[in-house]
Amino acid sequence: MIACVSVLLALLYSVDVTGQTPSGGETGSLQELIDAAQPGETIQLKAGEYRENLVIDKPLHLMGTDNVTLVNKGDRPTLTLEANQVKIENLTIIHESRDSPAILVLGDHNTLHNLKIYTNSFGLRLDEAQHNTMTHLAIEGDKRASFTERKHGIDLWRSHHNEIDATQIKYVTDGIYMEKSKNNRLRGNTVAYSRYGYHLMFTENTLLEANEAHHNVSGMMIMGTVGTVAKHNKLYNNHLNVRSLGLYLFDVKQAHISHNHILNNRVGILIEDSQQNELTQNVVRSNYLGLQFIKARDNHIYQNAFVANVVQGQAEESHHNIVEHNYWGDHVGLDLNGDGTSNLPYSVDPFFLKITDQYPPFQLFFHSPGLIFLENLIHIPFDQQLIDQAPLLANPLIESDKTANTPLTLLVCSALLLISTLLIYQGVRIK
Amino acid sequence: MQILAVAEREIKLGFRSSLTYSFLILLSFFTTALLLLQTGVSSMQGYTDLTGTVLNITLYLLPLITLLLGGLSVTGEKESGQWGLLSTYPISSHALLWGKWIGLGAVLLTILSFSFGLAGLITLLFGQSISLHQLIFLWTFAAFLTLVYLSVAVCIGALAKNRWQSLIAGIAIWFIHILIWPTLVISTLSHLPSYKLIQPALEVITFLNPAEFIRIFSIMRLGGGAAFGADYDQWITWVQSGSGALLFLGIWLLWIVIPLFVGGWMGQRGEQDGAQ
Repeated sequence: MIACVSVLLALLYSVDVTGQTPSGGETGSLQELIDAAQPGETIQLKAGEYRENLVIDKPLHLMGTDNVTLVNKGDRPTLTLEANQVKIENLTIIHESRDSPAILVLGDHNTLHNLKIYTNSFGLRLDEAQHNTMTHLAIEGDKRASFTERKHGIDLWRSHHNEIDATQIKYVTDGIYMEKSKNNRLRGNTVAYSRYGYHLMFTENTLLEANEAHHNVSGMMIMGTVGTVAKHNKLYNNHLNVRSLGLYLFDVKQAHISHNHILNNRVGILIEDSQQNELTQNVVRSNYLGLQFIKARDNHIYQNAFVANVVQGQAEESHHNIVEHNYWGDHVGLDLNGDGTSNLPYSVDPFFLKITDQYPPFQLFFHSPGLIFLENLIHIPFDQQLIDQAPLLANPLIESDKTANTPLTLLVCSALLLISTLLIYQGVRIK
Repeated sequence: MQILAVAEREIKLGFRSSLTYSFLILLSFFTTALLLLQTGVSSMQGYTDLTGTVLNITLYLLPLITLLLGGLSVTGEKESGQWGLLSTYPISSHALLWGKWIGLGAVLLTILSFSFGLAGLITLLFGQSISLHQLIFLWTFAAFLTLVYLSVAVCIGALAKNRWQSLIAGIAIWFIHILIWPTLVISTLSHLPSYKLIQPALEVITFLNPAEFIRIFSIMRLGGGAAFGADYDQWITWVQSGSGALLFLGIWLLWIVIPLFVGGWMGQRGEQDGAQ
């Protein structure tokens, strides 16, 4: 980041830009141009570097091109939107301050579209701002700074009815952080290489749809919320830390979590101190621990697929959760009445979890034939087990359909049979 | 040439033995069951719980069959006196054991191919789909496992005095390598003075169990290596590289060469003792 800035600065000094801003060839700063504009006016920015920070206090349409860059070395936000119905498009912002956000939105009904933001602080902050739309943003923090030195990509404080779409965020603390905000919608965003992907605190009715989070400490941290809907998200490879989680629900009520893919995280889903949540149609695959309950009650977990997790699940001090009709990859079921569910309950033996939690190297015995033998020798108290009373026999969420039978398979099988039969025949005939 | 003559004789005897055909039937049944279990698992998925189950069933059965078949083949000849007869020929016990290994290996791989081919056809007849990739992977896994345990079995046969000894030794090795291995390792390594010693000790010990390292290598090759935890990230990197495969092959070959060498050497000493 800093290297990038210094290159840009070197370029700036090599070109004569003393007070000249290439905005229609006029002299004077961009701010003066904005101040002079009538409400509703569109300002077309010409390609070039603008070294200033802007405050927009009337409805304007600020439109850049691919090569319009705002560079701000000062302490104030690069862009402050105090008005409503401002539209900003096609800009690159380089923001050096470690305190103020690159863009501060204080008004309502504003639109931010196609902005590239390189920041040492927040990318975008909404402070009591409603009904704003943000699409196609790319926010990048300081890669070399630690998580505590970085700030959030997008931060919403008491801001309602906003939409954030198709935004790419990396190297920040939390990709999108929301606090005490209601009815916001996040769609098609990606957060990577950050602390948390999506972090919700005391929000209501947030929609998270088709977002991705990967290579973060944790994917989605949902805390103290009511009515969160998370669907079709993909949370994967979040395992930077021993406590890394794919999806975390803490003190959450009435969340609906469905159709998500949660892969290769340390813990797939952790539900703690939460109640009345519904989790369905999620694929939880190849995590160290698939589903974990801590003091959770009255949650309904059904029609999910838990496949090839090192330990499929665990429950601590949890009760009245309905866990049924899920597919467990390692369950050998028995369907007596043909309803597609097993009449044998599925329970996760937490023995391997206990052993590997204490001595992680023993994880090498994952799926070892002798381990199953050992598990049967040792009795674990019943209340620590996660139990599915009626597990499904078939995976309802199989990712791709059965592989088509190729003639090649048939050919190989026939060849194997034929050649071995010939060999046997020849072997018997040896004199 | 002596080795090949012994091998040819072994193949002849092997295909005329009722024991071979009972194993052939058993293996065919069990492979059909495995492949039917595997159907519906798309090859795109890589490593799944089901793959684990299938590998485990293979691990339970194949080493045991091989240990019994190999051990009995050598001790059976000892008891019938043919071994003593062979010792009168100008043939070293090393050549004898290598010949046995090659001959029995050919018989076992033929049985394996037969049962996989038959099981594959039956599965296809049932209208189920199997991926070629999974089929080849399983066959290779079984072949690697069989050839290693065959070498151990021939060694046991060379050392054992009679069929009972070889039977008991075979079962003991199977019990230690397959059934009780994690229990044994966890209970001993947990007592190491330093926690940091556990992982290196475990890595070394794993190479002492061919079933375990073939299993781990296979899971890693299938892309399921992350399940072993971050501690083994380096392993996954080398397993997926070309040199990792070579190293694996090297260790696997050592596991074939060393038991046969030990068996040949002890067998030779036994003959010398007997001559004195």
